[in-house]
Amino acid sequence: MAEWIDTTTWDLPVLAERWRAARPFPHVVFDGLVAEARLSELLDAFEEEPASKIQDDIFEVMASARELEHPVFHRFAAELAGPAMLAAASAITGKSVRRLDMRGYAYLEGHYLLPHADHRADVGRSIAYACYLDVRGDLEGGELELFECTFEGGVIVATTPAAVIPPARNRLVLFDVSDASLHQVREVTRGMRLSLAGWFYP
Amino acid sequence: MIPAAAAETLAPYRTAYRECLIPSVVLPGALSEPATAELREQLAEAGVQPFWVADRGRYEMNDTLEAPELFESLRELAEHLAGAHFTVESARWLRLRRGSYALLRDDAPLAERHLELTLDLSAGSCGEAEVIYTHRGQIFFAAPQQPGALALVERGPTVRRYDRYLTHRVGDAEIVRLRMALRFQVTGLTAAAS
Repeated sequence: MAEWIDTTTWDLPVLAERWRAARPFPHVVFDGLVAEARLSELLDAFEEEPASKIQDDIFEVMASARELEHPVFHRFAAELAGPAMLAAASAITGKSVRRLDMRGYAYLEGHYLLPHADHRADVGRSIAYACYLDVRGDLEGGELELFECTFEGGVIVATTPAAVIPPARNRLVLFDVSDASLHQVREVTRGMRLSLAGWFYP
Repeated sequence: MIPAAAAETLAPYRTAYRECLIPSVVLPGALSEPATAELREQLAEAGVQPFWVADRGRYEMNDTLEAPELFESLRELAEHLAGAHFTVESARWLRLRRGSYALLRDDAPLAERHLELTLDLSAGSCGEAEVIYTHRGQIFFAAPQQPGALALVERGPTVRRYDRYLTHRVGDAEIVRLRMALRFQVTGLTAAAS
């Protein structure tokens, strides 16, 4: 029996249609991922999960270790990687997936994730996901922004902002992973956004 | 030619540059505030072109503004600090504001070993906007954003560079940079041998 996510209530054909119709690349937004009563358990675990600031040319953000420590997150990840959720993800995206990874992120003021595509041929990511657990402090910024790309010879030569998805409490976003799935998290200029994110794999 | 008095002032920077595992140094105050102001004006008059390819960078640039006296002075200064001979391969003027950045993907260095020079022409310090250099993926040098400062880094195929993203905290600040690539010049006996 599912602890947090009841996929039996999901209208999978509608979600699948939204995925296919989405622009600039397949994605879907789903609100109310977790039963509200259980969401607080995930948020409490977030407070206890060790995190550190990580920084690179494309990001500055507070992140957990690559392997989450809190047992609540282990149970949540197991459910997200369980048969019901995998079947739902496959039905929505048309992609067969069998496992996932998960990491915790807190974007605070001044934090960002600059435009990039998640696709790595040697890594095999298939579907990206973000579970937005909460937004706090009159959040400004932190939106997931998707870009339309123009390619020449396999190289991106032009990009256009095409869609903006605000983070919202208890929201799930799934999006396709490919060389064309360019996206960023806009800089947070006030408040914070808390999420669990990663990828589904074949 | 570097005057003797200047050479004495530059001696510690010359030593510091050469003693680094990957030669690099920041020379503060290489250019005076009036000189940087004049160059900013010249750039404003010449104009800049916006560049935005999201997975590479977002900034304004000018690749055509010529400043032969300045370029020659910088080449000479680089020769004195590095103890080698150079020719100027390229020069790019950059203007960055809040939201600007240049990623590793935007870095297209010369294939051969060369010297990269970044001259900060900004009116003030914004507390961000470092230029970061990596060697095999690890940061080894961060040039601070400091008006009038000159950063020199010897680059080879394993050295990459990015300009850190400017957050909202920089407000209305404008960061202006001149970035030059100097090619090592083969001279004298070395040329004869080859």
